[in-house]
Amino acid sequence: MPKTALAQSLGSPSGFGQSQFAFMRGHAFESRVKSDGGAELLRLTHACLGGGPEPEPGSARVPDLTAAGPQGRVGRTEIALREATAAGAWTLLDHPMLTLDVAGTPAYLEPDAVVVAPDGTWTVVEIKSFPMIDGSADAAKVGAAARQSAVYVLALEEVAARMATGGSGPSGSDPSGSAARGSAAHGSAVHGPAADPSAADGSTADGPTPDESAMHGSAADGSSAHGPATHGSAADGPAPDGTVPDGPTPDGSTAHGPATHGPAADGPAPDGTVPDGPTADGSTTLGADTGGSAAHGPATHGSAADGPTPDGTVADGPTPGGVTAGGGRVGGVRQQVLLVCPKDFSNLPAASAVDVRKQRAVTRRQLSRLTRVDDIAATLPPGLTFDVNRPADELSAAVDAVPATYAPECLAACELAFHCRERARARGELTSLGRALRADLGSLATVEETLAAARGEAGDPDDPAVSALRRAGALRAEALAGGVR
Amino acid sequence: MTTPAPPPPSSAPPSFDPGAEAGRATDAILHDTLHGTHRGVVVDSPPGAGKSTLVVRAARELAAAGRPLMVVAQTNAQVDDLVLRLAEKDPELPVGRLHSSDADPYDKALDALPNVRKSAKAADLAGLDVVVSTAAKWGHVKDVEPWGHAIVDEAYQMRSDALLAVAGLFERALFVGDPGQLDPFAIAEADQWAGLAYDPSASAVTTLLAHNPTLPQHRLPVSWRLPASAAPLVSDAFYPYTPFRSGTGHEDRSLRFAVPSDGSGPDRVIDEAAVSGWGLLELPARHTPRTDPEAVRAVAHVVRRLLDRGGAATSERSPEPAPLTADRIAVGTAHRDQAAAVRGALAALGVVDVTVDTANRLQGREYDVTVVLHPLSGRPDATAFHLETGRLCVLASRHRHACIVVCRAGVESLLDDHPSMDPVRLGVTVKFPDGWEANHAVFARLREHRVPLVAP
Amino acid sequence: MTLIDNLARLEAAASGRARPRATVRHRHLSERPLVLVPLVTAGEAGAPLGALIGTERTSPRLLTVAQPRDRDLRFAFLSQLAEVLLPYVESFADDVEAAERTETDPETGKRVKVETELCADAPQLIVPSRAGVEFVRLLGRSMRFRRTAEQDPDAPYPAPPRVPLLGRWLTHYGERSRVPGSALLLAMTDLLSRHWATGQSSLEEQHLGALLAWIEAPEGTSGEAAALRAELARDADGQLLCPPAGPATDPAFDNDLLAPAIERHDRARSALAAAADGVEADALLASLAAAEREIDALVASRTRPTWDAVWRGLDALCTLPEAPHAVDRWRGDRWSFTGHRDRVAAGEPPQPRVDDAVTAANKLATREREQARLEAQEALDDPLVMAGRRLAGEAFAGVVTDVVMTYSEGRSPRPRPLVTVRTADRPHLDPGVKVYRSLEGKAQSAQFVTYDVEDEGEGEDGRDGGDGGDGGDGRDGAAGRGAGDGGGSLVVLRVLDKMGRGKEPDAGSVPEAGDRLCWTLFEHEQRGGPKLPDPEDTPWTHGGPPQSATTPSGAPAPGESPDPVTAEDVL
Repeated sequence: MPKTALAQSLGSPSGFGQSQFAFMRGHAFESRVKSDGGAELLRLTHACLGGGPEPEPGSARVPDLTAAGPQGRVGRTEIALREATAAGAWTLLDHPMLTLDVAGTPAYLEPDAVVVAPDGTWTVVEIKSFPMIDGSADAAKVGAAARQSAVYVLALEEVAARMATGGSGPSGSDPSGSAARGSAAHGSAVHGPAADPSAADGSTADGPTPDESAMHGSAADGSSAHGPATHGSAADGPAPDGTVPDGPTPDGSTAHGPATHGPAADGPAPDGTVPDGPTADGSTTLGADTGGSAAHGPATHGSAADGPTPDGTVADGPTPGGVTAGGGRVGGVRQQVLLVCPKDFSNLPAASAVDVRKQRAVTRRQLSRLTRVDDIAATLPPGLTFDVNRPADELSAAVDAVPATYAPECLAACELAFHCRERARARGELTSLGRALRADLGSLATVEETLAAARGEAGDPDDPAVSALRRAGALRAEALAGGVR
Repeated sequence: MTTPAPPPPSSAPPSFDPGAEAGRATDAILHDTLHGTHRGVVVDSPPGAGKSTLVVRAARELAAAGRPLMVVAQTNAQVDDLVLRLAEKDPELPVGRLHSSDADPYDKALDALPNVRKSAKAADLAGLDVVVSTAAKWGHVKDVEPWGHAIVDEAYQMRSDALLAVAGLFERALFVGDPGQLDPFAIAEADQWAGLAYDPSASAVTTLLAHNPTLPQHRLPVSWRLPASAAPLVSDAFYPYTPFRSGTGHEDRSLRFAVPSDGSGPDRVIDEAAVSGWGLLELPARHTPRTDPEAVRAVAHVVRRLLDRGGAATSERSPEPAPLTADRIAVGTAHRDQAAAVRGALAALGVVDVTVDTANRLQGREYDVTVVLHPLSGRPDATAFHLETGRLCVLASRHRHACIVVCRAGVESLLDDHPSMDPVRLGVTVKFPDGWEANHAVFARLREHRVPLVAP
Repeated sequence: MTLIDNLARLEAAASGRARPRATVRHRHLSERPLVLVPLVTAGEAGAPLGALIGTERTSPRLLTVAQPRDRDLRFAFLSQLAEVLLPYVESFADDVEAAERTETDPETGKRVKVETELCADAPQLIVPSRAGVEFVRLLGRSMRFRRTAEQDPDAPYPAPPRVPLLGRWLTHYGERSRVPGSALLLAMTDLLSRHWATGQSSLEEQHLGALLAWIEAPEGTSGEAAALRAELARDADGQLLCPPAGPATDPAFDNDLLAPAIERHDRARSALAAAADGVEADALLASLAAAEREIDALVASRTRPTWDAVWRGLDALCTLPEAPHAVDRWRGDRWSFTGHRDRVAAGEPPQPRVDDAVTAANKLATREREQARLEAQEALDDPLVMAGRRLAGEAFAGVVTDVVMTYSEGRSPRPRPLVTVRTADRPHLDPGVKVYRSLEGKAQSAQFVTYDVEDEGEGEDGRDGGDGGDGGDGRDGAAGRGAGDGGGSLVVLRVLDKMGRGKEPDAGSVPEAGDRLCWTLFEHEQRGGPKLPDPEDTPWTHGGPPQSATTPSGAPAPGESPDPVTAEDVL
């Protein structure tokens, strides 16, 4: 779903985009990290996470993962994982392909790398171009990377589960008694993780600094800011966002991904995946999925069979065979991922293990709360089209049919945010001034309504929000008139 | 940090003897404290697991072994409470209460204790078996001979920099606290130290263990406060990697009311909670200010009805049912103004003796029944403050019999709209669980005990 | 953000123009600030593209890096930056005044006053936005461990002479800016949004152009429309009319204008290097110079609007009178500057990469104390800020209705007058709580005694009114008293101090009936925290003494060694 083009056609271009300097830097760094048959990357993995004897330079296996189409690549990746685990040797899977079922639609995921260690553990590797200076890095960007990686971890766990049952398919039982069971049962899936990389890495790299990004979209880490719920997915949509962390905009895509064309269809890459490349558009791809729709609720996912709390907690909890301690793993999949960034001001890599158990648990719960994408499509008016060649007013009406809740955080994350902001401002929505502002104001939702209440022209004086507003107005007026010190 | 072995499956064999389990844990802790070779011992204590009892016992045994000690607590109320407990257990024990030079620096009840000496100067208390004070006051003590032993109470609520200020005063220490309660915080920017072992804004225990990873770590495995209906939920939601159990079975406690239900929402939720231990009184979805008048009134009505219906609580403590009186009920809120509004509403109903306070101030306290105004009720947004795991944990773990939560509908959608987007700082030990996740987990359980409040 | 601030934001949104959040200026502004507008290369950590810098509004100095990945060109830029910045900083070093400082006497261990000097003024650095502050920190970090050829003849890729020193100063300024209320290094967006509310979110207020548009809008015009134009409007070529304040640039600028210009520059340079003879070289030199001028012009075109905006922001701020306590806090900044001047002069090594445990704890203690101090001082200086505290129940204003003289018990009774104040505010007065008022710049304290009941009718009214409907009221046992809107409540206070030494209070030290006063529940001055151990006495709980404290002098501590460098320093 070309949201940038859509925004352009709506007359509210976003300013999203990526500097070619950042783009080149990101690619150059990743290839440097993976050069020499991955020797440096494996050394870093071993140094941070162990996994067996120290890798001998030049001895690592780097299997060829090329195949026709995403499904072919998924199959090739699974074979490589199986062989590497059986071989018990350091193996670098460069851009493997994984899949997860998102609300009934398969999403293809492409991590930067997966390392298989001699002890049989699988580690997700994320390579980012923001710096690690004196051992610390931008926490918002690391958070985005962790959420993104958690999706890969979940997808890998499904592979592990299938392998453990002789490849009987995704519905196979999960011997580890953990995650995969939940997701299979609940039909959870990921969502546009494929998109993530671009958001997290690309925009990060060149985002005009978090601050300005608000305006210009390059958003360091859109995800952190903005709830997917925001746009596409109905007001109370099941938080698509979190899942797709950096995901690109649930919005439009959600809405009509499935309806108009399959989600994969409009991705930039023919196979529906966005490599890791930092292209801004890429993000639109499968992000779609996520957009969850409104209908979640108790009915959607009754309490899981395996514990008092539906899905999330229990499955992740200390069930036997489940997650172990900090360095734990589920099946052979490490719950810590390896984050690789440039060290200080150089082009040398630095690595840090990031524990993603929390992000994984949250993602799993979000996935379990997603309904099928078809259900979202069903709530939209028939004939809805987002053809960017239609006139702006017609397009605008189409976009408006998709429920969206604008908040300023969206500006950093979504190409359509400026369009939504315009609508929100025109309607005088309080949230266009910031989510926090609404906290004290209860059911008041618009600027005019609130000011009228403050002036005493409207509102129930017994409503604490109204009475507090009136006192605030009186105190403010007194102070501006030169009140007591 | 290592994680203890997984707990036994929930269908524990009937041979599980909570008293024996807890006794073994206590013995091991005291052994390490009195005879161990490590400079520190850390004890995690879930809600109501007997932390204060342990502190008093450890202090008395150290003193009896001829090893004078200092005790560090975090608030003056905690210090006074400890001194009173020590004197109650052992009226002969010479105890010093080191206090500030402010007006009214300590509880007047201490004046009635003959063997408790009070002073603002540490030198005046030299030679006493036990000297107790707050971390803040200890931080100003200089030029004294270090103590051989210390007990640091509520160590998870103590900041690393506060420990730095007092650690020079003792050779070795027993650190006791509840990792599930509210974390300490800083009011100024401290991000640049995140991930450092000695991050001054982290908890004292985090720093201690980062620098001394081999210290023995113990856990009190049994909650004597939480009933069998509450322990699994609180344990699963807030202590997923360090589970605990209730010391009592479902049959050990009961809550009955002499006056039958009038069929109203408050009465029905009371009956639900009396039977199941949990009740959710759900108001229609609506965005409200913090002091939502309807929710506040609903809380007050539930309390009023709890008192009016002649409640009686039976427990392992006594064979006779104890009347459910005002002092056995508490109301918990997230914000001070909410507490004040509830007090006002209670006063309007003629209720004055029920404790109404925020989670911060309810930490460490215990009641038969609690009524909680859910932190997310009616909110248009879910901030980190409202999602903080410790806040919900404190509110959901103060009761011996039942907990009734009053809340607007729509919390789950609100959570879905505000997914967990926490920043991640490299090198920081991940604290479990995630507030977003814990809120979802608790709510999923509460929903099973839902009673809608129909508008009158 | 208090509800009062939010109300200002709503008023701004409705009117299309900014509304005041303060009646005075809460930060000291130097008469001669140094403004720095930096730009950075996308994707690189700390690779500058250029900057405008200077103290003269009309004549900034333009510095550019024609090829940001070229280490030599970058060093040349940093060297020029040092040429501008260090003389400015050093120009404040010699003008000093006598001052006293409390120190611990190493022999007696007692706190004693020591005569010392304090710089009469300090250099002040102003950048456009918070990202600029972050960039100053990053530049400081990237430079302070560099070694010059003089320091270390064997250093690979030695830095120009004054660059490491510049790194230390920028590091100091970046670190000081984390202290609440400090003013050595300020971001214009922070300054403006502290004093005005606009009809945008605080996130959008990080855009200097948009923020200023709301504030500068003349009466009768729409600041909102001007802000929208500042944010989004592009020319026919797709370039933003109002470039972002940086240091990051707009991707469209990078891709459409900057990248081709840098490419032309690179081509000209390699052609020059390959020149066959002097004549050809002369011609090629001219084309290289032209390529450099083109990049200069591009950088100037993206920084100049921001440069002008920063100065216009200063104009706007100077329409507000300086808050009295801002001068006190600036004195703290002068101490900070003087202290660093002395450390540099004493030949101390650069600030370590990571603070040790004691330093970190001391810094946090300072910041928390300054935060509390700032909040108190801003309220005392500004009725609009105090209004927010009153609304929150943390202060109350009212008229004294009655004063009854009473005395303390004991051998020498002291005055303890009971003062009754009528207030419409709703402070959180728990029994026995202390309150403070400002008396000739000092805080006079009093203790809350009780609420007085004026007459029966009103008392009963109050009792009925105090239910949940009063909302934000945090009053405890007295929830019912005088909560009505009209007359307010009567608060009885016992004044405790600042009345002189005698039995009778000094003249003017006791409030009188009819006085209009404002009492706060927060203290006006902050107490010091506990004294922490010296770093070499770091206890076992915190890892023991840090390595640097035990390294024999002479050997550079590990925290100070230069960063590793590679031949291709950046990618």
